[in-house]
Amino acid sequence: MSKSENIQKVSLWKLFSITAKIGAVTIGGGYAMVPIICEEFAVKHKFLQPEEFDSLLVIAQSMPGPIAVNTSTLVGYKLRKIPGVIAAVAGAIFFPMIIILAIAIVLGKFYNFLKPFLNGMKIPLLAIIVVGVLRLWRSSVRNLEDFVIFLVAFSSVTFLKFNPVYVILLGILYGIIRFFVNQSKGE
Amino acid sequence: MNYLKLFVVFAQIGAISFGGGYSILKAIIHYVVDTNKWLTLDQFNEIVAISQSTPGPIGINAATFVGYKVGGIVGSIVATFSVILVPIVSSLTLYFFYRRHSGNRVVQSVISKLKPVVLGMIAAASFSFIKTSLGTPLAVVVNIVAVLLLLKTKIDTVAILLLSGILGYVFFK
Repeated sequence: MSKSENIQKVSLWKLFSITAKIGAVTIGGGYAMVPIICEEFAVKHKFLQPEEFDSLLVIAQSMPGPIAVNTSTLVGYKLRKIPGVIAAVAGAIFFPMIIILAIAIVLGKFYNFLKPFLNGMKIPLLAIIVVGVLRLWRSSVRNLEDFVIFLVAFSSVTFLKFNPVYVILLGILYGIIRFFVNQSKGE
Repeated sequence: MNYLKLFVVFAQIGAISFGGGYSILKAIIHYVVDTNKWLTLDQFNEIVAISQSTPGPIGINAATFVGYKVGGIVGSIVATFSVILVPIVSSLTLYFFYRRHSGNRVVQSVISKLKPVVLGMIAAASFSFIKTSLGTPLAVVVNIVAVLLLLKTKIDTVAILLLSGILGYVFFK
């Protein structure tokens, strides 16, 4: 638990600039930000272990709010406590805010100029999500049971259009039941 | 008091926006269009369209936009801050709970079963990108190249996004 001690100190500016960079380019909703947040914090800079990132992601997704904001909050806290939260979240919302304000203030003009660029940035999102899922795969899906859970969650959101909240709640329920089943079997 | 109202409304929207993206839209329609009439449904749809092609979570984009319409720059800051307030506080609260009980085996079991659930939901998000990402032969090529670059090189994902943004000027004129 106190593994965080051996994490090198990250400057607040670094935190801000990493999440700002991510926030500037992720079109198409918050989910696209997750693999990039993981890449920056767990792969490139190794500020976090992949398993730690997974746990933060689970917590972020279990609470209301944009997953990008929640994940930035937790990564920021983990690395630099409350100032880290402020830096990471401010970074995540910085460019989205500036761009929307620019569009709202200068009306359509700015938007029309940017639109082809923004549309172009949407193209590789599938690749980014797929690679992101692959990267998180090893630490999240460790056996057949996990794989079945993954498939059920995936299809209930995709095909059955279940509200993600219920999927999370079912997951929590399953985790609890599974624990007690295991225990009664084990002892 | 417009700012206070913005704060109350967007804090509520932030508090009930479970599961990201589209649940927040319903909440915004309810509070911003139906209840407070700050925007017409047409204006709201316009924001959604803009938000889908600008960076950032849709909740942030909508809050900034509506906040600006209602109260100028200050309004946009108030609304954006309000919409993320409850998410930040509640995520931290759950994190503290998790840290305190991370040795508890029930908590460990729940977290380990939720990992594949959350990954499944992230994978599900890829479905909404299929139309754009595989819609044209060029887009397919871009995606294949992107997968290879991401898996085989140390290239930044951000660099890939910027490059394909530049491609956008060539193909989306």
